[in-house]
Amino acid sequence: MSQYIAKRALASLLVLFIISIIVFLAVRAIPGSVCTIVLQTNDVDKQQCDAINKELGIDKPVVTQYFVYMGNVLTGDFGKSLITKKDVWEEMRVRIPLTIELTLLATSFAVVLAIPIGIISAMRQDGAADYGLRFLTIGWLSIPSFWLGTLLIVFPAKWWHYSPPVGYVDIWEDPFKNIEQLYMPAFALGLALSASLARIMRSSMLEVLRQDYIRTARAKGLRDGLIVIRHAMRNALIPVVTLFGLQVGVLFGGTVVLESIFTLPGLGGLTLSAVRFKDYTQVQGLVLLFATVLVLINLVVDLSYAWIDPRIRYS
Amino acid sequence: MEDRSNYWLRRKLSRRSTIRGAAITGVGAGAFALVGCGDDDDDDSSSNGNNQGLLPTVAASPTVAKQPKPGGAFSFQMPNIPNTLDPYTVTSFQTAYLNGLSYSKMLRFKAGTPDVAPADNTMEPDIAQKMPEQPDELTYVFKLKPNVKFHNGRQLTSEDIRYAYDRYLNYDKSVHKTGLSFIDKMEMPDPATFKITTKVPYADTTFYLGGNIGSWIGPKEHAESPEATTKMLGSGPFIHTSTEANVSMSFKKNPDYFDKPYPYFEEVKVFGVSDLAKRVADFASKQVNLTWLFLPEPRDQLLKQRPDAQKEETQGIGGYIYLRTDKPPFNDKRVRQAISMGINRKAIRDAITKGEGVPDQLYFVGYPFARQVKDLPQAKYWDYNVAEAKKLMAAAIGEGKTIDTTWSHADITAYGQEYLDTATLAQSQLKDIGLNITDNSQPYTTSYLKTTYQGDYEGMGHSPRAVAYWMDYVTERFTMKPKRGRINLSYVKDDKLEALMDKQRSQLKMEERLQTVRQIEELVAEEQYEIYFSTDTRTYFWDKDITNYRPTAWFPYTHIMKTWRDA
Repeated sequence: MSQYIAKRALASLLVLFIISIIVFLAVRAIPGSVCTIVLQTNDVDKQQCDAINKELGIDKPVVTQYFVYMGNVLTGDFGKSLITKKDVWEEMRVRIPLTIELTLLATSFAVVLAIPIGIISAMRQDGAADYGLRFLTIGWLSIPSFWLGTLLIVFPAKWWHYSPPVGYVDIWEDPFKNIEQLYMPAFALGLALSASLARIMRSSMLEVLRQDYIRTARAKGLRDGLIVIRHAMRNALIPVVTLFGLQVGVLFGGTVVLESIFTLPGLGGLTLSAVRFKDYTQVQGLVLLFATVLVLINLVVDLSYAWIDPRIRYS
Repeated sequence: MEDRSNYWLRRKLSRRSTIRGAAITGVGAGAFALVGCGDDDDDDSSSNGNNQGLLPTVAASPTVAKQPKPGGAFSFQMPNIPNTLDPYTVTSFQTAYLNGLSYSKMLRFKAGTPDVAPADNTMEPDIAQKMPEQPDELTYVFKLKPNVKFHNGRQLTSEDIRYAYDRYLNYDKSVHKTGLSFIDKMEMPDPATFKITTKVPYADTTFYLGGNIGSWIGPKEHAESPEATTKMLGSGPFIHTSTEANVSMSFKKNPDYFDKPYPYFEEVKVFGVSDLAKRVADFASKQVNLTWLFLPEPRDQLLKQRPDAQKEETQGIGGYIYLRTDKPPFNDKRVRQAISMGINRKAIRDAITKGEGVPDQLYFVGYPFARQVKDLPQAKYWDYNVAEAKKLMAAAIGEGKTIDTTWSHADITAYGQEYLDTATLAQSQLKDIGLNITDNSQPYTTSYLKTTYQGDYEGMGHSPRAVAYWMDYVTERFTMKPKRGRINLSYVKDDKLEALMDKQRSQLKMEERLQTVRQIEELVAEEQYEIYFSTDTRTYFWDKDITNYRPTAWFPYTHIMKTWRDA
């Protein structure tokens, strides 16, 4: 097992290394001059540009730049924002908790909805409930989160004059207000994920429910509920967890739009703003951060298989 | 043409309603009488500070019928929280709104109270004790209020004014070098007196010193600190306390504000909400006290959802096309005239603003003194007349020939969907008269602002235009003199126009100046150096119990200090 963990960790590091190169080169391949962005004007002379390039270290060869940059990143120094001149890591650090909270809430919504729907749908295969739930989940899959987010804003305001509290309050400051500010974007973000998870849960459950050991359990006279919870669900979860790991990346991407719609100060909003203003250093830092999170989630998913299915022993 | 061309004039307050409005103006709110102003017209054009070319002096405060109720909090929405707040290096109108809460100017708009119409550009003293003395046509002497302190506790002196104006003029990162370029000399006879000498007689001096941008006074120790972009520190009515990036900004009352008893609110909160649906929802759910700039569609939603709210329409934003008049084919005025006649402005209004707005505009938008297009001899160029447009095109470029050109404009991020829709519809209409247009939508910050918006484009460009409060605005549009910033996007080179612009700028008597302006209007209308779309309407909504408030077309929010909640 420890060998497997070490292998997976090394593979993850390799992926991160490759991603860092791609991100680093991609940012430098974007047309345009950095000094016009820093000075916010086209009216710049060579002397000014040279000074800025030197200050940012982009007067050196690209390979040197890369190793200097990565060396700094490893010590937590992602550089300074070209636009706000603030520390890139600091800008991200203060926003990480919100985005994590939003993603966790969204995944909670997704899991809470998806697992029961998948199980009920599988247990009532081809019945009215199954058709109804499948229809519902296909509908959810088809709704883009930004559109659902807008609907969630528009209709409660129109019908009940309600919208979530404006601004943003930290969860430690006022947990109830914080949740009230986040539940709508989390729901909008999590609904599509719940649909995917529910559908994979259904098909996985159907497969498991046809296994001999389930038939044996039934023959022994165990109740359906007990069979599902104790014997079927855990085995059916493996593909669900795999999909879940992959989809969390999509959720992170979804925060970019939803945080903007709901005016939340998270990483998504920061990404949108950095892209709009061509804040390369900030974009670079954000993409690296997102990539790291994704790689880590995939690592955790891989490792969780052993816990979910004890038969899996990574020897 | 529709009979709504005097739309904004009709919205200006009548003399009677002015008196009514004045009756609820707060204690201490300064009112003006115009020296030598004998105009009793109900149109209220006399309230214009520029009238007669003479400077207003302070008169008695109006009758106070309602007792202000200090305390409480006030909140309003803006489309975004700006990335930088430094008044010296930013032209953003959104930054200017916020600057108005924390900074002061020599003069300010007498705006925001019920007695002042939204487009009234009357100035009143801000840091200055009174409107300046003018010993001659070139000299302006300002006496400063004795109790003006920056938020860091330091007394403001005439040296601070000099520093600020000098920084606007000479700081290498200043984006306002042109605005104050009429200043020849600045003198500080004592810490409470500031004297400006202009290079030539300049009729808009007070409008620049009290205008929205390039005029805020910030202390040197803050302006030169790294905090200047993230924190505002002036001598204004509200102290900037914190910023939640992209979300909100918080302000508290400045207890040492020099203009007592303002401000009334203890706290002001500004929410940056880019999503229109959320802006509507937040006001519908009574979570903010003021929201603004709504086009007819969302306006009608809010009218249904918040029937209790107070509201007022103000003049909106008018888009315009500029063209490379220094090159064929747009150097031929017949082509420009044809383009104007090939645009169906009514169809665009119907599609975008429910048919509302000011149908026809020239370079002025909302000028109280401007003639309406229908009163110009050249009004026919605003009529949608494809047959006539085709004739003009044929005469200019030859029968059956077409023009291939580009139309550069900003993407959706800055000016909204209606701006893009206007471009799309107009391009489609112009195809009928032989213009094959390639649309060039540019990212606002990274491309449009640095190219098209600075005159770096080919063919045609398209931008929105807000209202302007100074008559010399025309110079910014058409001067061919050495570069003075973002000006003359149509590359106009017209000696006659230049001479008229020079003339009006130095005419201190309003009637004489207006005569010159009339000639400019007709010349610009004939030449179609810029081609104007209709101007839309923008509606403000605010809570029923917010008292002594009225929107202003001049935006900066200093005037919120005069408002209170009559709970």
